[in-house]
Amino acid sequence: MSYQPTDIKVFDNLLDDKVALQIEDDFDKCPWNVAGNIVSLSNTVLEKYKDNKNVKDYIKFVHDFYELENQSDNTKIADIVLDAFLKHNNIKNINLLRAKANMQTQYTGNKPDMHNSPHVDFLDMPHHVLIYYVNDSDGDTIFFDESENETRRVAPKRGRYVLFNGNILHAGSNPVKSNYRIIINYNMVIPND
Amino acid sequence: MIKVLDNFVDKDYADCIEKEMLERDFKWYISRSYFTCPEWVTKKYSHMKNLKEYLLLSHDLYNEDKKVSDKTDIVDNIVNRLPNKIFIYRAKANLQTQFTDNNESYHNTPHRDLTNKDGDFEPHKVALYYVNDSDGDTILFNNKLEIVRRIKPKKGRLLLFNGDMLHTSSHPTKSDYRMCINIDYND
Repeated sequence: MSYQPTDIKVFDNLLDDKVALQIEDDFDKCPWNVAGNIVSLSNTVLEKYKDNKNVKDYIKFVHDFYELENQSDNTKIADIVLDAFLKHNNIKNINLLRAKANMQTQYTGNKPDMHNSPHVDFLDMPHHVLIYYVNDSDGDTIFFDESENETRRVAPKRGRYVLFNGNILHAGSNPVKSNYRIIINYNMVIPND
Repeated sequence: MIKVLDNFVDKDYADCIEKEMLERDFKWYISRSYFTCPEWVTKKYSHMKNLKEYLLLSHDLYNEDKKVSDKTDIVDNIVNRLPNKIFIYRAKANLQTQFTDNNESYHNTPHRDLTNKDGDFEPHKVALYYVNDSDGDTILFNNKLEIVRRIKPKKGRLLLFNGDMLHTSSHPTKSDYRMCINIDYND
């Protein structure tokens, strides 16, 4: 299958509800660490948006499933979620660059129009991003065009996936109402893109 | 007995502790079933209008005087500076973040750290070490639930009090995170 560079595709109900609920429960046993640079973004990105009133980056918690040569003790969670997606889309093999979970919490004075700094995950490598929403929460994923105008929002929902080309500027947001917002973020190369 | 000891460890080591707890290999766990206290305790205090629970991340360090983490040097370096030999019932690191409509008046559920199976108090002392400069006071209450004292977190500060005192924490409103190390012990 092939995608236009601007494609953003949302997939619901690929996983059985029970499985999706179990995955959320499994995160009780999954350790988190404080993200690199606290907020998991480069200083270059942070500097760029520091005067933008709608942009705020707040402490982020990360669980690395597959990162470089390392893998965590909890890769089964990431595998179940990814396998269901690949099977549904009849994708036989991919080159997984990285898989990690992010957890974001609330912060004082957060509002629904606030979001994190727009970014791309890897600058110099064509890839796709697959996001899986672990729990029902607020805190949309927001997509932007090259001029940084908002083009689309995807609301988190347990069991939902969104797939998009890695060259699309995007940002997460911290939840205003939900206690936490957990996603699994996969960066991968799909052959014959 | 309530004692506040500032600069309990020297500044370089205090910085080192904070840095270590922000590192990639320092593991934090969440509990979604309850935050700082089990629900039945929170219900007991539900008449308190300033009570508001929110997510707590924690890392267990000691349980029944046994190390349950490879990061216990942080605790060891604190308890080694206390005058008497110590039995550590439980030690853990806590991390609290802000929440949306938080303000300085909100706090978590008043509690005592250790109770037996019948819910009765188990005699112990509490040492609370503040890892970073932040807001989010520790609040100590008397048995009538009146506030006896508020202690502001400050890097390097150690708070000592008897475990029979009802107490609670508050989530930060301004600081990005509030980290402390909670040691329940007897000497």
